[in-house]
Amino acid sequence: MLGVIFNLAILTFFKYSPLISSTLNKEFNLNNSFVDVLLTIPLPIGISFYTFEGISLLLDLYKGKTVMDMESGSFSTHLKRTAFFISFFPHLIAGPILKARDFYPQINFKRFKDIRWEDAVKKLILGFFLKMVIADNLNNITHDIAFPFFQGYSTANLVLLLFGYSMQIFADFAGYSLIAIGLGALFGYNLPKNFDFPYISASFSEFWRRWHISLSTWLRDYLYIPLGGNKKGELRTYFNLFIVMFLGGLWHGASWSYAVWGSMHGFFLMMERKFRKEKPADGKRKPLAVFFVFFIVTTLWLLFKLTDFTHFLLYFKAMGQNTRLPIKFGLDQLSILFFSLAVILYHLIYLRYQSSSGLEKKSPNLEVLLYSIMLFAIIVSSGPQGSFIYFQF
Amino acid sequence: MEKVKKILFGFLILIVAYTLFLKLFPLKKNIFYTNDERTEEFIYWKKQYPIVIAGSSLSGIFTIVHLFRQHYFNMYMPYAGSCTGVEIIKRTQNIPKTLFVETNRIDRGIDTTLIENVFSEPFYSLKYYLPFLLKKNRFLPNLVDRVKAPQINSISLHRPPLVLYNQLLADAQKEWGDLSDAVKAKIDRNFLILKESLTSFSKKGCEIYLFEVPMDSSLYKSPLLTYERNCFIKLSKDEGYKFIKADTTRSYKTGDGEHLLKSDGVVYIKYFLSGLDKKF
Repeated sequence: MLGVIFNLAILTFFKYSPLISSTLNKEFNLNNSFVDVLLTIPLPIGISFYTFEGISLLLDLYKGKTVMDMESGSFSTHLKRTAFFISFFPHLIAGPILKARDFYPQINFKRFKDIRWEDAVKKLILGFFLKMVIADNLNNITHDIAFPFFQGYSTANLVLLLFGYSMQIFADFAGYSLIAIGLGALFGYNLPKNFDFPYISASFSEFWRRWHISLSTWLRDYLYIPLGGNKKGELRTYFNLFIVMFLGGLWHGASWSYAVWGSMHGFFLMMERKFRKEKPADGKRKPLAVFFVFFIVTTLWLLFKLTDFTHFLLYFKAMGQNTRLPIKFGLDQLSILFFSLAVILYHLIYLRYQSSSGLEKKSPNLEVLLYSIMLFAIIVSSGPQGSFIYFQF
Repeated sequence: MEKVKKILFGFLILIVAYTLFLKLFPLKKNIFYTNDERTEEFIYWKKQYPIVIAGSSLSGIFTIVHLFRQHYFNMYMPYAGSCTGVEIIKRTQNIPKTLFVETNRIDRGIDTTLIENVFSEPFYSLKYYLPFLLKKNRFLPNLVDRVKAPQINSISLHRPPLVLYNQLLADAQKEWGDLSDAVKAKIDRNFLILKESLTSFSKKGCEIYLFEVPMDSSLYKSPLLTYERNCFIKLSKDEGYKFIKADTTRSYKTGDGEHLLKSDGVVYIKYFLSGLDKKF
């Protein structure tokens, strides 16, 4: 328990003290040097990820799950393994969040011949393609979803920008995760899948089974279930869903906009549970359900870009007011459609072959061609270098 | 491993095909979307430009008309300024016969990230031979530029909605109103480097012209702009460079307090050309 508190204390101190102090400063007008110091504390990179991994290690050990053989090995062996688990560099900065019970059994002597080259290379190509070609090019354009610049765009352009940002955030984060998984594979380690074609989700619960899987399973295993999950009555289930998503939102960043983002997802999960009773949409209703989930998810991504809630509201105000402004359709707008099309195709290929490995089995030559094209695009069509969106978390 | 080899083979075929295409049908363009593209064009087009304009995004207004009869290159650098353009000329030693230097944005200094990206990257020399490495040959923009003439998005025909314009103007007034000691020190440092480069160009026979692009009239006497202007007035007197000062006879319309609207840009260009002591 002490260990969990220690990890959470580190996270809270570095990540949330600026938010708490700025809120106190604003509400109570506390102008003193201590508040100033708290406001300027730099955020250690990747802290949200490795503190969660530390907590998972402690809780797994506490629950007696097979993490490591505590009986064998010296203190220094355990220390080395734990340090290696926490600092394993491919995923350190932005996940996937590893669980100790999945990673520890893999720590052993590695042989060059055991490396799954094909799998690693494919993951790296796809990851770099999503990041360097799709996300970086879109980043250059969606830059204008910033206050006050968005106010000069027409309604149609604002919708297109938001759509582009939704594609960008997926390509950026899924791209990083694939690069991390590919790098892990080169070292002989299997890192968990983090994205599973999230934009085909027909419900919010499905979306969270497909988006940032390592975070949602972490929240499920170490927060939702310990809180009672869905075993303690209907009202308690709604509360658990809401509080888990609220905290999941705050995990993303020290800003109230992230809390609102998490709360809204919590709200939609609650509504879904109340009215749909987990009955999946099928037939003609499914495309509508997919569109609805995508629409809400995309709208809420705006809170990631405009972390000042007033600016978030102004964006919608501009959408309502700028209907008469001329619609711009130049290279930027064409680029949004072109690069977004690649993300859409990525999802469609999955739907067509009904699994992520279906293309490999049914059309191996097409698969080779697609990977060659992606590698070609990385060289000739990368966007301006931009940092990963999730590095800030 | 077999599949990896096939992927690499496919990739090589695509790269060779694209290189051949670019060699056979090189893309010639006068308008460049980014500072990287513009810099690469200046370096890799292997041309000696008799006239070069070095400036910030404010000098982008010169792209709306053909300025001179002689061949010229407009090295305007959005988010940077003339210090960056002059540094590029210095590094390439592709010194023009006449250099026009915009005086507005010396505070921004040299864009070191751009300079490092262009001059220190591992493919620097390879770019002479492998055109697919050039930014202007990125697949989609290249394809679009062949179909449709490139346009500069930043030059506005009209003012944006009032709520945005007022915000942008207020931001500009705030920025140009800030002349702290730190900003002054930065300008002094940047100015010294710029002055040194201009002196060396001048010694090699380059004729230097300085010019100030007009902005919103409320910014004319702003502390930052006045300080920069005074630096150049002194330089112009000391070194004998001609200084085409901002036109104060009329109030220019801008889209954001800084960048001229197209119609006013045309008026300014006439004023600019009339300020030259000879035809180019």
